[in-house]
Amino acid sequence: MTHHIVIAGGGASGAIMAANLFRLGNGALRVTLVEASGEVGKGLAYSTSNPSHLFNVRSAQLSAFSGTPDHFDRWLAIHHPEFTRSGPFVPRGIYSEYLEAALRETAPVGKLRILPQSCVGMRELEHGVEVTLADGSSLPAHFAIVATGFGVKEEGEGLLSNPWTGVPPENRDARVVIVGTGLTMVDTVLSLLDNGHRGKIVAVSRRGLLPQRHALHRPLQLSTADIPLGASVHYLSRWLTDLVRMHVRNGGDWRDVMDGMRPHIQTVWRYLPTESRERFLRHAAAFWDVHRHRMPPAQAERIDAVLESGQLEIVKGRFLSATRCGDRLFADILRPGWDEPGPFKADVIYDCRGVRRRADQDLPGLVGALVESGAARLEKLGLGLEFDRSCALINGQGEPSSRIFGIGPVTLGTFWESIAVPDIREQARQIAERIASGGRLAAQGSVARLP
Amino acid sequence: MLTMKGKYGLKALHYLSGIPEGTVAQSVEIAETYGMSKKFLDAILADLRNGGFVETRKGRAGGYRLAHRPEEIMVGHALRVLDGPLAPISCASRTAYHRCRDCADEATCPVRLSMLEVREAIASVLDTKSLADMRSMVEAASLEEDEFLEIS
Repeated sequence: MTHHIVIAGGGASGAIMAANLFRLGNGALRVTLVEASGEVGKGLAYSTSNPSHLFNVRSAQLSAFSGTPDHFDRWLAIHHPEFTRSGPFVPRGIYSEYLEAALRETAPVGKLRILPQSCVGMRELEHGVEVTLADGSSLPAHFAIVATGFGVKEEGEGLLSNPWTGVPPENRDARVVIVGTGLTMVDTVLSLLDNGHRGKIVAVSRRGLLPQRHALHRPLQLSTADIPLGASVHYLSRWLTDLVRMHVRNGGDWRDVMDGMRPHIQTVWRYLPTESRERFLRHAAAFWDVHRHRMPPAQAERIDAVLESGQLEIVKGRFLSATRCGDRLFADILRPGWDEPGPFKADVIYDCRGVRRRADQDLPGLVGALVESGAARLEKLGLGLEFDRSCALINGQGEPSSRIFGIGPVTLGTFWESIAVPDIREQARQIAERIASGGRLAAQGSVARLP
Repeated sequence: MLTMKGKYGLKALHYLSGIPEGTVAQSVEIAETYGMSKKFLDAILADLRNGGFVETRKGRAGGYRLAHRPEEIMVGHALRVLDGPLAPISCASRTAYHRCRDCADEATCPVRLSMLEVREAIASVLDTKSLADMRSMVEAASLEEDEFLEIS
């Protein structure tokens, strides 16, 4: 029997999912990729065309298939040989081109349909899933996959501009305030500089931490047997800092420890007690992020230069709101030690707070609709939807679906590490294998790899 | 490596997994049940508390209880807090690493290479065994023992 699989969302997660379905399926399947823009592989991270916006993962880790780790590098050598010479961090803008090629290579003629629509609901039936679309029509499917990303609204919120879609200000002397000091801020600053911006840029975040920079890749070989699973976050963070200290004392680099932890992070998160996860989010996530998600050296050098010249200033403070006075904007920022928020003058304010935000009342699009209809529920901390270990969607009653799965950032709360390509392709492999076997749970061995 | 501390700690956790929900146990009762030194046990319980596996209630009605349900606490996880990384030999751990004194070439040492595999096996057994599983094992074993006594 030919299975029909509907994937909601055609960004990198959806495209990697489709390619894995075709590669690991036995050919007897059809895939409909529902993507409003009609473009494949151009989600939040990869719609950029700016060559300064680099991957923060090395090209050797970007293959869409866990089974063929050099798939991306081989494609790169043929289609963009210029980047194979310029180092391991390549521009993100070429990834959609790669994903399209991967789909062309794997999808049999006529088996992949890209539907320029948005998906607004999914209902699990006895033998399939009914997927409803924004125009009121519905698609019958055997399996459905949520690959929508999570929590970022299309347009900027109120007076804040969206860094992904906004055009740089025409006035090159404009005063820019950026809310957030992570990698999105870095990309935004680079875009401004590429545009010849001369005006002052102020970036604000509560802790004012900048992403660290990448160095040599020499991960410490850690085993799960070494890592204190199940312990409180307090214990875990002390263990980690002690380990870093010891490793540095022996002539190593702290990055080796972070990179050594990388394959185990999903397991650590899985066993981290709920109150520890909460505490981690509140107190440690910002520190974790700047060490875990690092800047490629080329970007770090440009950021260092503008910090030195004073054009870019990092301010520690909490962004409260933005107001408009005439044609000027003001960002209200509460700095540590201040009793009252102070207004920061700006011509434009970019919202670079990132994708990882806890759900508020009005969840956007499909994710909100799934929760409302009881087909899904929020993960305990509100970080995306809840899934089981094999990426099956958990419904309002706490039961895993046998037909609806999730991949990528929407699974963040369940897995923590689910936004980078190496994790997404592993999820895709797992879901594809399960669907290829008719929806039955995969053999124990392959489940164990993705906790 | 399983030390005295690890053994006592697991026994204490086993004891705590058997007390009724909402109650606490004092270290004196645990120490007496297993014939351990109370002082040593207190130090062990302090470590388990530090690791987030047990909680304490202060005061006259005070004592220890598990911080999570027995199904959620894995034996291997508690053991790492008690004894450090799961490793049958200290050169098989990255984090509590000690080179053997008589070691000529670690990279090709047959003992170490075998023990590296053993530690993965230890982890896969102990990381899937919860305190609740441990209870049922004990119950099954004591049931068998009773039957044996009846027959003989």
